[in-house]
Amino acid sequence: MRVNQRTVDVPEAWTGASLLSFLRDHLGLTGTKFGCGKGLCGACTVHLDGTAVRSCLTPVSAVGDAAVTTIEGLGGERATHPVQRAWHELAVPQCGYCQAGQMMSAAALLTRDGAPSEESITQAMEGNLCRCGTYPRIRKAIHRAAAIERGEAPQGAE
Amino acid sequence: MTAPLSRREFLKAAGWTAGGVTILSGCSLIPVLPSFDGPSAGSELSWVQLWRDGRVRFFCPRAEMGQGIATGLSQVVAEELGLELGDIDCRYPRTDEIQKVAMTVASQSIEEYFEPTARAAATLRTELERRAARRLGVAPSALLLERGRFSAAGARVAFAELLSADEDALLPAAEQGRVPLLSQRAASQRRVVGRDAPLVHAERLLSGREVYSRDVRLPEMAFGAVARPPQIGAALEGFDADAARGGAGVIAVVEGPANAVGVVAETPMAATEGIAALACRWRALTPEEVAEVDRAVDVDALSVSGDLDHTPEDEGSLSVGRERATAEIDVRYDTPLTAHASMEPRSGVARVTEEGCEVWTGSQDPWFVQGHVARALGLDVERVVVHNHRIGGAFGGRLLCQASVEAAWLARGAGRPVKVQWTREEETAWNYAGPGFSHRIQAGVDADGEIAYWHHRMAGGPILISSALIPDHLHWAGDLAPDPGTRRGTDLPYRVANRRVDFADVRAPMPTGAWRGLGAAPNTFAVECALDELISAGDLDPFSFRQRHALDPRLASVLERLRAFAGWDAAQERGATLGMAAAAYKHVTFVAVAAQVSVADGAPRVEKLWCVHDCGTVIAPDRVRAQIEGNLVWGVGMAFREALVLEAGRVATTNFDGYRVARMSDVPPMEIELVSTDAAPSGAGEAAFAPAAAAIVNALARAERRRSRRLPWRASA
Repeated sequence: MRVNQRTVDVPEAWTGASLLSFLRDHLGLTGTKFGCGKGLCGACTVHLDGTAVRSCLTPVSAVGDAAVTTIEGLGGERATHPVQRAWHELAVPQCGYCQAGQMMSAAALLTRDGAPSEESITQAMEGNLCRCGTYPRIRKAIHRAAAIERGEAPQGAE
Repeated sequence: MTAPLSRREFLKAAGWTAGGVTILSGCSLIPVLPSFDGPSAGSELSWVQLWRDGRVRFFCPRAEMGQGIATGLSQVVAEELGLELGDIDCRYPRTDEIQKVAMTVASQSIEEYFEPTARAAATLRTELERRAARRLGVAPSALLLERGRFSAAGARVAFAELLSADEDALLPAAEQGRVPLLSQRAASQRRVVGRDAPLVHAERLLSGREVYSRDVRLPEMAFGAVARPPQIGAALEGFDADAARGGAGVIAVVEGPANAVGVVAETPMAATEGIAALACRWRALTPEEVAEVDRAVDVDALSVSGDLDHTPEDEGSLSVGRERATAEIDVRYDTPLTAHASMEPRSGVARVTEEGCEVWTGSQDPWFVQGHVARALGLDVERVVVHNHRIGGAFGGRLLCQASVEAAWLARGAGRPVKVQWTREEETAWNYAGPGFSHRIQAGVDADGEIAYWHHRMAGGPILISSALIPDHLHWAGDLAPDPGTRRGTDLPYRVANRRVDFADVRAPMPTGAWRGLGAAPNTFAVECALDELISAGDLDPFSFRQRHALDPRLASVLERLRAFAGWDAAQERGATLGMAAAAYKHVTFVAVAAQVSVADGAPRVEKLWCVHDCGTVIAPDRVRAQIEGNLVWGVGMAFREALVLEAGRVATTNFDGYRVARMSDVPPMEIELVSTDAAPSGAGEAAFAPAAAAIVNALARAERRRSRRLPWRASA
């Protein structure tokens, strides 16, 4: 399996696992979170070839040749992806647990649509729950990330 | 069939009366209780330490669960030591790294830990000043505190150089007299406190490197799971251990305390399959027991049966008030059982050795976890160390520690470190719930527009005397005392001469306990909705009526500000549909919220929310704003979505398809005005959400010309 641009082995005991469990419990890529196990909350969102998927519902056996990207592979240890930079500028996280999934969904949205409308943000993010209620900041941060991708300077001092 | 005894009659029949309480002795009968006491005098000094690498280590005495306390208290440390926020190495301490502190609850972390934290950092600064003065040969008063160093007359000395050769770290001793606190200076003189600051641990959080307890991995660690009954209270009658042992990857089948059985395996999947292979047999509840499980908390029925045992307020005379009343209301409001629905289902990792047991978890009270694990393993408390991690949401629900206890007995049984990670279904069904409430409010206004009387009858469930914390054999004790958590919010922040509150805290078949705001959420909601109905009945103005009756001028002030901030009068003239509500959370934090709503094709929608919020001196303004935003989102969820449903003796709404919380499309634009005053800091974690729900419902009642008095709001279409 190709995960964050490296190739990893899938031992026999893990071939029947969900991609989420394989990433977390076998590879130790714990940035991707378990929230519901049924594709209802979005905390486990990763990219398969750039498309956002729920890794809790994706069997390891279904990944095939697709490139898996997790939050660890999005912008590295310094969190340099425009979405992560926008999330930092706007101090989006509260407990932070759902935010990897939020950022992966947001990054996939921005790949499809560099200047998303309010409505397409609602649509893209509707399946990502945040119990702390950071939705207003997530919305602002997606607009801000789009601006960063367009090369606009940060607003205000950070 | 015999007629059921009322609870009070039952207690009498059983020989228990308030005057005749028998104190049970014997250690094993006394439950492990949460930690209530704040830091003992002087123990706070160990929270802030200077290490040899020049970094200041701050052992945050509060659990971080999204409220931003790591950032807020780190700001205080930075202020006192002349440092920037990024210079502080903020850590979540183990139970053996600092002395026991109270559980992290009740929005009190800034209120109660601001000053001890400031004192700890200021004491370290004072010791550093003394050493720097000696080193530079000047008086301490001649020193200038710069970022991480002192200077005087052109000479400089860095903090790290002030450690002697044999010191790994500097922990200051208590100072004689008071140390000056830089974080309590006037706002204009402060550099960090009261100003927006970047999030502590932001990079870790955003890159996926923050270690929540579910993310902990140990060498040789295996995965555990425990069999759950199909109904609450169903006893285990048998299981097929051999079938489970034969499964691929299964390491051990372990019997635990209290009639439990679990499986330890090499992968989480193998552990889950092992539980299925056990084919556990459970005693099904009888139909009578199930009926008991589904019994409603019904204020009117309890009122008739004389079971509203507690009367915390009884002032003036209701009958005198009734005679004066020119307009009256008599309304019933109901709010459902609720789940915390934290995004992170709980987990525990345990390693058992000859020395004792180490546990990794995320808890609002790591010392409570320590006590429970010690008891389960029969160890002295000192032999259990709990590593506490950032929590993926708590909301009052991160106290019970079954996953940690299970990991401990599974680890001992399997001879390997074990991680137990609860599923969403386990998290919803086997935690305590926020109690369902029902209210009967009768009230009147007189010809002068004054509240003539106010009678609030209410039935809720135990919260602070939680039925999840008090074992069955001690439940009678909880029944005797009125639960202050259950009644919170019934004590009106408005002046009313003739008033009475009666209530019962009825044990539901599902254990109930703390949920964001405790009783303040359902009670404030009911009070502010009933008040709105009373104001309408008397054809009065919702702002000036509340302002006129406000007991605290700060409540009157947020109301006055909200009217202008929301453009209330202009919006009314435009024909917009608005509602409003207010709250005086614990009589220390004052909030007023306005909501604009619309209804299209029978579908109600919140168009906008405004909130004016006064929690006194603000330490971390952006984190306070974030808390208020979250509260407003919870208000939307409370109004439209949340309800925990019990069916056939079990929780029916165990995942997010059944237990629905607010999502992106529910959330309107919101504007927040933060009133910063010189008053002492007070809580912001749970003040705004009940008035938000009430403001929304008050607006919807206007929009639809009918009122749904049972939450969540049901659309009329």
